This record gives sequence, C-alpha cells and structure tokens, in this order.
Amino acid sequence: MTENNGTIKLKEVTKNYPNGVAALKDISLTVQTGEFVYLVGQSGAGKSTLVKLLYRELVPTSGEITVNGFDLQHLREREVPKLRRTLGVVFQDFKLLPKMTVAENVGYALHVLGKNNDEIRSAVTQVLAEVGLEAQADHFPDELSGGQQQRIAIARAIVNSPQIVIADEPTGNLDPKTSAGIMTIFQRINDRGTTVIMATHNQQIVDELPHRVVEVVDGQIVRDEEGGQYTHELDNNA
Amino acid sequence: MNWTTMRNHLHDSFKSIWRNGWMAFAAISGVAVTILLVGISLALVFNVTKLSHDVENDVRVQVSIEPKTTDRQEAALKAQLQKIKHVDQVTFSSKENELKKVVRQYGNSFEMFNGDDNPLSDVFVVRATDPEKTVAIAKQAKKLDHVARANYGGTQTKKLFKTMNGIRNWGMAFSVLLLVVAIFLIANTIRITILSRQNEIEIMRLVGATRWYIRWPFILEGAWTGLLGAILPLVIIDFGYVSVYNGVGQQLTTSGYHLLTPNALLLPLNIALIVIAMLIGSLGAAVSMRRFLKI
Repeated sequence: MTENNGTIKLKEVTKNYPNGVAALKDISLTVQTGEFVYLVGQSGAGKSTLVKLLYRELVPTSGEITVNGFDLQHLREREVPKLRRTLGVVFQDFKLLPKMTVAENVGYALHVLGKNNDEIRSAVTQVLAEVGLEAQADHFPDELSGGQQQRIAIARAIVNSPQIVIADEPTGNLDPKTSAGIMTIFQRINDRGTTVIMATHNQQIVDELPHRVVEVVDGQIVRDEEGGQYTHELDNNA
Repeated sequence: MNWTTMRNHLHDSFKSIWRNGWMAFAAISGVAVTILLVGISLALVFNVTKLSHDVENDVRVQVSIEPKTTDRQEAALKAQLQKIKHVDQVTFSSKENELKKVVRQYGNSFEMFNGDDNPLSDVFVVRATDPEKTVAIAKQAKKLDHVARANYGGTQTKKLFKTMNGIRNWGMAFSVLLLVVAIFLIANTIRITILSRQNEIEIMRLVGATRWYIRWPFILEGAWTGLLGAILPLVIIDFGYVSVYNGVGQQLTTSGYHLLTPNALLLPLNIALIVIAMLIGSLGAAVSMRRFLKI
C-alpha cells in the first residue's frame, strides 16, 4: 500500500442516484502523490459526488476507485474508518462541534484513534501554530470568524498527517481576502508533499494559484489541464 | 480498546448526560418510574413465590377421630396412619387444643363452645414427605376405622395456589412488558440526544472512528441514565419494603407464614434492578444507534 500513498485512481466510474439522476458518467482520472488538483464546474456538475466517492461516503454504481491504495469498490464497511484515517476532509460549512473548544475540535481526529492526551496536546499545539490559531486554542468556534473556523477545520484535517487532503468548496463561505489566506495554508500543506484535491467554483483562487484543473460538466470530465485557469482559454477568448 | 480510549468514552458519556440536561432528565425519569414499578412487582413475585412454598410445605391432612374412640383404638389408628406411604409425621391434637386454635384465629366468641359444648373432634395431623402426596394420603386415611373425616383443605389450597400462581405469572409478565416499554422509551429519548449530536457522529465517521468507537459513549450514556434512574426507586423500594415487612409481615407471622426478610430480599433485588436499569439504558441506546450508523 505504501507505494500508492497519496494517489487517487478512478477508472470508468459511473454514479447513478436512486432517483435516476446520473451524477457521474464513465469518469477516469489519476492523481499522483503530491499533486494539487482543482475540480471545477458549475453547481450540480458532479464535483461533490466525485469528492464523496473519494472518502467512501458514496459507492460508485460501476467502475474502479483506488485511494491511498484502498480499493474502494471492494472495501468492507468495517474497513472504511481505516481509509478515512489516511485522509483529511475539509468542507464549505466547516463541520465543527460548537460545544468543543478549538483545541478539542482539532484533537478530535486523534482522540478517535485512541492517542493519549499528551500526544494529542503536542500534535494540536503544533498544527494550530501551522494555521495561525495557537492563541485561539481555548476559544469556541462561534467566537471566531468564518476564516478562522475554516482554519480549525483544516487543522483537524491535517493533524493526523494524512497523505491526501480532500476539500469540498473550502472557500465557499469566505470573502476573497480570507479565501486567499486559506489557500496559502492549502499550498503549504501541498508543499510538504501531501496530495490536495479541491472542488471549487471560486475562479479567483484557481486563477491566482495555478495548478492542475479538472473541469466537470454534466457528470463528465471535459478538461484536464496542468496549470490551467478556471475557465478554458477558448472560452476566455470568446 | 486501550485504556485511554475507554477513559475518553467514560468522560464523553458523563459529559453528554450533563450537556443534554433536560433530555437526560426525561430519560432518567422514565427509567425511575419503570424501575419502581418493576421493583415493586418483583418484590411481590418473590414474596408470593416464598409464601406459596411455605403454604405448599405446610399442607397437612387433618384426620378427625370419631367420638367415643378408645385410647387403644386411637393408638392403633396412629400406627396405621404412620404406615401409609409418604407419611412423614403424625401428631395428636385434642379437641380442646383444636378449639384453642379456632379461638386464636376467629376470636373469643368461640370460647362459648368450651367444655362439653365443644363440637370439634380429636385429630391426628398427618404431614406428608412430599406435599404432592397429601391428596393420596387423605384418601387412604378416610378408609381407616374410627376416622370421621380426612381433610386437607383441598379446594381452598388449590384456590390459593391458583391465586398465587396468577400473581406470580402476571407479575412477571407485567415486569417484562414494563421493561420492553422502558427500552423503547429510553430509545426514543436517546434518539433525540443522538439527533442533536448527528453532526458529531458525522464528524466522528469522517475522521475515521469505527462504529464501536461511535457507539460506546452512547451505550455508556444509556447505562448511566439507567443507573441514575434506578437510585430513587431503590431508596423508595428499600424503605417501603422495610415498613411493609414490619407491618404486614408481623401479621402474617402470627398465621405461621413469613415474608422474605429485608436482608434476604433487598440486596439481590437492588443488584438485579441496577443491572436491569443499566441494561435497558444500554439496549435503548443501541436500538437508537442502529439507523445512525449506516454509512
């Protein structure tokens, strides 16, 4: 499994919802260790479905998915937690626990692994320093701004040193300046060799921090471009 | 599971009861009412079982001797009674002694039958080795000479057994029904606390918590809910039983029957009720958890 750490492979993946909606149609995609990939496309294009397939919140209707060496098609329910421990997931709505302090929220991912309090404390202190929130460790999420809350969510996602960080519209609720700050953190995470795959429709961040762009339209990949812009050059020229 | 994880679960479960304030109070109250009713019902069932054993072991055949039977004939009759199969003991009781028993049981007005007016007979009280053989012994005793009647209180005893069995069976059925109702009551209450913590469960799953890791705090929370809910009813049952024992128990003792002593009943009953309360709490939590753990 080690040689596959940080890689994502999708082969002819289709996902149909029970209501008949075909969210993804025959998608193939390979992401290598240490890559930074933007998944772009309009709302309803299938980006979130693709993201959910990666952390096994959804199971594909057909096709093969391998994430961090886990064959998701054949992964048993009780092995799903093992997969998720190798991933960090960040959402638009932060998904923080309001009754826990910043430090408790971040330490939660380690708490679940049965780490002892000393290990948790030391890892949390380190990761909060990385996202610039060490002074807010004892605050509750509601006392902080949206940008700071997203930093907590990122800290929680990386505290376990995952090989892949998956982000679903992480700047969706943030203003441009705050978004830029959040993107700096994602870039730093990627610079350490962690694979980052981010679904977004924030044109500004994609254009200002160029990386590989995978565009999804109507459940199909229509563009896969290294160092691309949010919109295709031809569209821009039009 | 290592000690740190277990300690975290324990800590989380206590914290959760505290955080869920009123919901936890509602669940604890539900358990309290159930445990009180189950406790009373079980105390009744255990005592009825004991009394029915007492009565069962106390069934004797009263062999009334015909008037004008001589002492020699009485001695011969006693020997014949002793020879009947399954007879354990034959005791003589004079008609004066029998009258005293009646007076003791039904009041002084029966003293007017003293002396020559005494309509009762001398009796042999025959005890069987096995209470079930009583009827057969009575039938055989009836056939012997100088026997006026051989009475074992048949219909009355049967009625008593029937009533006691009824109380025992209905009591048990009532307890089981109450427990099932309590499990659903707790399941529903814990479901509300789970709903309020759905976010937390979702995050737990996202960061790679196993199903059992997610379940444990809720199951422990259910167990503590059960334990806390059991405290008040146990106090009520313990004090209540001691007063009942001192009141009704004394009256029964004069009739030769005894309730279970508080020492004999309360410790096992308390332990059983605590275990039951914690089990129904945990089961309730487990029932509620099922639908929230589907991935």
